[in-house]
Amino acid sequence: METATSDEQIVERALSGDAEAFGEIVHRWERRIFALAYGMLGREEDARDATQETFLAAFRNLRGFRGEAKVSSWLHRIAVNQCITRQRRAKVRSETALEDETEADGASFSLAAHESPARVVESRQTTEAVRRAVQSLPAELRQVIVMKEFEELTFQQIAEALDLPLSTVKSRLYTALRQLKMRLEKHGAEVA
Amino acid sequence: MNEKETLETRMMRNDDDAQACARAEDLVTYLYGEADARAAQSFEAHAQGCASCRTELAQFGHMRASIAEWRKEALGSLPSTVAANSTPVIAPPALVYSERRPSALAAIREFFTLSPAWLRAATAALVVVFCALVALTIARSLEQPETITVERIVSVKPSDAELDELIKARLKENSEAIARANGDNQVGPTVNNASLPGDQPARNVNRASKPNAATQTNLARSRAPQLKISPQESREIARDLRLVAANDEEDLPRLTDLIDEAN
Repeated sequence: METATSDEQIVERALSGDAEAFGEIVHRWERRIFALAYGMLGREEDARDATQETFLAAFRNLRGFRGEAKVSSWLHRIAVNQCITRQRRAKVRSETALEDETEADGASFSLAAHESPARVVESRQTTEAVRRAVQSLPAELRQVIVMKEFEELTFQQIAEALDLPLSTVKSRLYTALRQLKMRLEKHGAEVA
Repeated sequence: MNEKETLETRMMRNDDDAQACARAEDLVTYLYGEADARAAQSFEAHAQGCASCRTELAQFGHMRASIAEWRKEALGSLPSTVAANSTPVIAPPALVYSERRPSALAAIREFFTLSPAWLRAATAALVVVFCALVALTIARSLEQPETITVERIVSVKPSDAELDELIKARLKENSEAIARANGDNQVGPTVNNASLPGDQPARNVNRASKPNAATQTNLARSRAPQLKISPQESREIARDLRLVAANDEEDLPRLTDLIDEAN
């Protein structure tokens, strides 16, 4: 992630009227933000929309960026808020879908236990189960696990992005992993 | 807020399992390889005697492998670090904004801001001249009062009194025109309504050409205000003088009536 020009310098250029500067920021961060959005939302289309909305929101609020936080933290905060907002908007639909998925999960795990001798199929089903389990986590737990696993950020970077103490980030990640394990066990998935 | 967050997560953790080890944070630090050598050694020593931490370490490791598999499937095209030459996921907002077409007002404003003074003055003068020409054209098109009046009267269907006035005025004009053409002693044969018997159709007015027309005309002039013409006669005279539109088609027999009569 080492670059010749820092994100903050590029933002300064954008603020001074350089039309292409913000595009550089987008180019640098879009994949990480997309990964975060995908982990949070679980669907590629939603993730693309959320990523676009994140950068549009950042562009609109560029003048509000005072350099007190890092650009990366600022972008992550916007992205997380975008994802949470999107999920709140579709709350009813999500709840219904989640219920359906939960029922479907049970069926798929049963099938996995009894009818999937092939290791590849089993692995895919486990992966799908993990995906659904992550999606069903509370937003504050999901975001830390996604930032850690999908973006591969350090605890310190997550703490800065979410403006949380380092210990809170670790504590949340531990809780997220435990809840994930419990959800998987509940549906019969083999965790260990 | 930090205490609150910690309490929150502790409560969640306690709800899940009261057997959680107190070194949970060290566990995740070790799990993700962020513990320094000293901390890692310390935790490994602890895990030797802590079944809970050993089990969780194995379970979490297994879940991480599944999450990594999911990530690989979902974002396989996306490298774990930022790729310099990769295809953009979205279009940069700055480019979107630059492609937006400015409004007409904004374009004019921009033009006047960037142009030199002489160009601005010339443009302003041209605009003034153009506006003056447009105003002149509109004013000229509005200057046709007589035509408009006649059209309005004809289209509106004047009342009987208005028809009388119009007939008198038109007959008077005709008489005067003929008088001018023929001289004082040979006033034209056209007469006004005064020379007509009460039951004579008005369409004969223009054909009432007689040798003693001058005398009749003078007589008619003197009697004009006292004469009475029925409304039907007035309308027929008006049609002859083309003061109102002739509805000839209304007088034509209908084809269906003719067929009925033939049958």
